[in-house]
Amino acid sequence: MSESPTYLRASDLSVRFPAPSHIVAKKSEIGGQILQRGSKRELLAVDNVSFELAAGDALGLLGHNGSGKTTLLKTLAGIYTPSGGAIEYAGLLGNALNTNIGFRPERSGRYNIKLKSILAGRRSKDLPNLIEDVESFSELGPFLDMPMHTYSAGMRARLAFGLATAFRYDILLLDEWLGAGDQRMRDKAAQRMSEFVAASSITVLASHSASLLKRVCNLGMVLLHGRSVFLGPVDEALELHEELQARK
Amino acid sequence: MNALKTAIVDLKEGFKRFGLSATLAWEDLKDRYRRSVLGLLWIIIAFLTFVLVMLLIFGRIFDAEGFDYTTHLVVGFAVFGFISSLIPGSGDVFAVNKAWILSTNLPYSVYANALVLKSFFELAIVGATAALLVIFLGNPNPGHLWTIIPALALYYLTALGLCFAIGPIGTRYRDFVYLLQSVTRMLFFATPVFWVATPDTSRGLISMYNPATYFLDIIRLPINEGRVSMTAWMICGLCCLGLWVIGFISFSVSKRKIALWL
Repeated sequence: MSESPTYLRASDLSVRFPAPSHIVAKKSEIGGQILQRGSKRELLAVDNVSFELAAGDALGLLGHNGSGKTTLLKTLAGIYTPSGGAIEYAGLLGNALNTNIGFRPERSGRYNIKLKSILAGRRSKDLPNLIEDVESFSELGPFLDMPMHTYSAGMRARLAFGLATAFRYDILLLDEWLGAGDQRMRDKAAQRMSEFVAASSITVLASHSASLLKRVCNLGMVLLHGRSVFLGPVDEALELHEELQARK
Repeated sequence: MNALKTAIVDLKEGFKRFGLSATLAWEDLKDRYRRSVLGLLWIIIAFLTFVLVMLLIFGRIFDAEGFDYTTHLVVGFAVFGFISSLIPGSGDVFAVNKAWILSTNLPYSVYANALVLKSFFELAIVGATAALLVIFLGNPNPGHLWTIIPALALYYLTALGLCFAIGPIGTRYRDFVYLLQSVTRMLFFATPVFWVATPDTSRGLISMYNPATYFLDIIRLPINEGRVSMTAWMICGLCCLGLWVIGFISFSVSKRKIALWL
């Protein structure tokens, strides 16, 4: 974790995707804005979004399907380069946007923990602790030494969740809450997930669950066709989101 | 200037994660043969099968006084295997890593390094087999063998430059990858791998205008004929430089768009 005060600032952030030229540029209930520039079409997925978060803030992203929540998260994560605007931050920024990436089904669970550790850029001396942590959470026992392709979906989910929540970040980006397993495991996972989020100074979470956003976030942003139409207390954001949904 | 800086930063950060590239390369290679009994041995079997059949067919035609066709074919095929896996692979380097690119913020050069390293691992396996074949079946006249080390370094640099030059094009225009596959197939017949380039013949002319010939020469000539061709080195060096210049331009211009194109 870094020493300087953690912050995350997005200024006039825009993301445009190339779109097929046969798409008709007209308004839709869902998705971003389709723009026509001569014969070219573009999808404006994020449109001039700005915000500034300080340590202790948790921002909930709300919006209809295709409103730009995931694109905004991926842009903050450095996956998409913004077409316009800038992102500045201080602190270790991480995400749990795709917990399944990097697994080798033919390799054992234990070996996959090692691979994930390399992928996350962790030191090899931290590996024994990481294995112990994930092993203890996932309760995979002897299966940890068996190839992952022999795992059930639930077993894979335990390992993926255990690994995704094993690393700590100053700024954490999440697309929906993560969970895993049967009822007993779900309780354990919920506890671990809460600790994972609490360990970060800043969280940005996209979710459709009002109760979850109320519990985790102090701020809310409502996105409409890629544009931020509200940024403020999460309760007010939820009210506006519900109102917008009811109008449709 | 920002775009150029982004490309340079990506390259620097990519080399910092060289260990990850090597791990990905090795895992990709092993994944290809996983669940097979012989595993990586299949690389050797495929190489030996081709070389032995070609020796049976062409051995007598091209064997001449003072020229070791066995070494010519064995080394040529080992090296061409490296070239032929890299040309279409470079065009596809970002597209095949779509899931990674859209899930992590790893430098893109991690994927380029992983691709080149995977081909180098294959070359090492095939190269060791080729060395044994040359020792036991060939009759080479080696000299200046040390030049193989800088030649391999030049291979690495050229392959990396190729990834940055054509990787973005293959991502934007998927047809380009199929074109590269066709070109590579054609290149096999247009390169003196199993045939010998005789001066003042059509074969000699084809090989003269084919850059792959010179890439073969900087490794094959010291082994087979004990000589170093300065012309081959110059052409290979120029190709490498040209690919890096194109690569820097192509990658700088398109780096920010690659994820959007996927």
